[in-house]
Amino acid sequence: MKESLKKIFENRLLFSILTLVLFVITSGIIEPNYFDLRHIFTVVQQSAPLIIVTIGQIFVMLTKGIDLSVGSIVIFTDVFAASLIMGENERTLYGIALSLLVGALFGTINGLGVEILKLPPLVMTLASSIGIQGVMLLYCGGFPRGGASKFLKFIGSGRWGIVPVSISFWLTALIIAYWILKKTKFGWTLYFIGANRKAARLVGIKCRLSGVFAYTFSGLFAALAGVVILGYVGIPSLVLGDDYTLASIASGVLGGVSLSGGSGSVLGAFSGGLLMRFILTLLTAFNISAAGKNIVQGAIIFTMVAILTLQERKGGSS
Amino acid sequence: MPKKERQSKRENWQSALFAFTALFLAAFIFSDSFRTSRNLINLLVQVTPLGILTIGQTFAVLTGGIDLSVGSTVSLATAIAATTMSKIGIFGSLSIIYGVGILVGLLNGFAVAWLQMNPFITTLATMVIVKGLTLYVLPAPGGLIPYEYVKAIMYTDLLGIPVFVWCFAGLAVLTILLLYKTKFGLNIYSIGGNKLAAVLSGVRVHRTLVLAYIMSSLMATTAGVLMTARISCGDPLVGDPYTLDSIGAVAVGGVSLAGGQGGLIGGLTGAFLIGSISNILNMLGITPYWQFILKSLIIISAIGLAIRIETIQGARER
Repeated sequence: MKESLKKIFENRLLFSILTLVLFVITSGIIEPNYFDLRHIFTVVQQSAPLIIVTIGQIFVMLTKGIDLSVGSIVIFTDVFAASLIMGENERTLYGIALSLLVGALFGTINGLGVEILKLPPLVMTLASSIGIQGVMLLYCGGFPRGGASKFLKFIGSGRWGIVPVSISFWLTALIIAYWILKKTKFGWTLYFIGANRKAARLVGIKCRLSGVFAYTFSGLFAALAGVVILGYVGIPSLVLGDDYTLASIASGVLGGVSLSGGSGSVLGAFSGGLLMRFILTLLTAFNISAAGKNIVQGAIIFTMVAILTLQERKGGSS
Repeated sequence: MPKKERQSKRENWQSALFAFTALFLAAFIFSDSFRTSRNLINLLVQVTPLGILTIGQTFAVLTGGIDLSVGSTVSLATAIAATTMSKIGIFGSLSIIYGVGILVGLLNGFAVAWLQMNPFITTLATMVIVKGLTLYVLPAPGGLIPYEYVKAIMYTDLLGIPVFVWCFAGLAVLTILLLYKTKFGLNIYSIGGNKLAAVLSGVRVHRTLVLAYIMSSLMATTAGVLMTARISCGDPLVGDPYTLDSIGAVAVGGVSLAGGQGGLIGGLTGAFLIGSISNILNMLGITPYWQFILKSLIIISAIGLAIRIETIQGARER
């Protein structure tokens, strides 16, 4: 039983990575410039924030939850970090640390609402996303100030040769998240909670505590993404980041993480996030309008989920 | 029949009604401009689109699903109306709009019922597709709406209240009868309560699910058709905020997001609460930034209270 379950997890991730590779190859055949390493790294750089947000989103998705507040947290930290850093190198680390702390705090509030007040995750995070937006507007009064320092700009948009610096950021985040989910008791607990909460409670797992921490991590990673975006763009924005909420859920699903909880790997953030971004750039290369982009993107998500669902059902029946 | 009595008892709309009444009274007492009949009618007009959407969302949520595509469907309806109404006449245009709306619902229902795809991600995908279609039909706000149409819906009064609002009232009555008095309504509850049990007791689960999602899309289309008259042009983004608002309204009204519990009276109460918060807080002179935070706190506390009541009632029943 456990073996077959494990196989399904692996298959889902494998499937998503396979799709990504096939996609890059086909688009390279259609548009030869696509194989240019420079171009590939540009796409990788652009997908850094999405990958980081998705890592956090996956923590929550594993527990059968969902976090609709990540977009607001991204915007908040974007604005918050900019006002703390004010373009000065010396204040950068302090600004990043404080922003991450606040992001984690927002996440924890979500977790407490879900686990202690027993609100459905969808509604709790929806309400908190409205609240966080309000806090952000109150904090900056509608006019975001400050900006990224040279150091942060280097992190966000700099390159070593052709390799973007931000790669090291999300790669570290990904490895740490992978380690947490695979090697620590907390990580396994999240899988248990998502797969069968009642059983998890009966064997003495502290569901509530781990559940809260899942949201804390989601907030933390969203904050990290906010900081990376600030580094990429240079100045804070009140709207950049709103898209990340639904995009992170979609890329988590494309990465093979099930919305019904308990199955999937955090590495899916990598393949799902990149896939979302590659689709977009390919459509841009074809000069397809925003309308066409939406239609194709939606159709791809739909098809991928249909295939994954069929796989899941097959796995369940055998 | 004891079962029906239990169902009506399971509606936890009291906390939403309490919150709405408290806010309404506060505004009524402290704000002179709120008390004017003009503002009260305006309030009804503001609540109408959200109310109609919430009716549809309630059907989807009661089956244990969710419909994220409603907001885009509203936009699509306004876009098609703006581009076709002056060319092929009001009725021709309306039949195209409703045809497309039914197709969207059919796609959602087909994926959720037959392919057994997760409703959240399915409707997320269709949301993106419909958004693309909308941008294709009408890339920017504009278009021409015949004045007779606007006049018939917005400026024709019945007992001092525009037809716009009467449409909402009529739909509310019809759908309440449909949900509480027909077999279709009972089937929806049985699927949301326990899908397997519903299958075993001979409920046509697939057909009912598809009808529920068509219902949701139809309501969204109707809201869009009415919105067109209100803004007297097409707008590809007008529906966006309504998606999450309608889910918030349903949840605040005590409809369980797990399905099978709650009802339209709750959903509509929730719609009145969510739809009028902004107007009421404006009239109380609260700045928009604080409105975000208050809105979030009101949603969280209303749902938290509804869940408390539910647990207490559940314990008493046992």
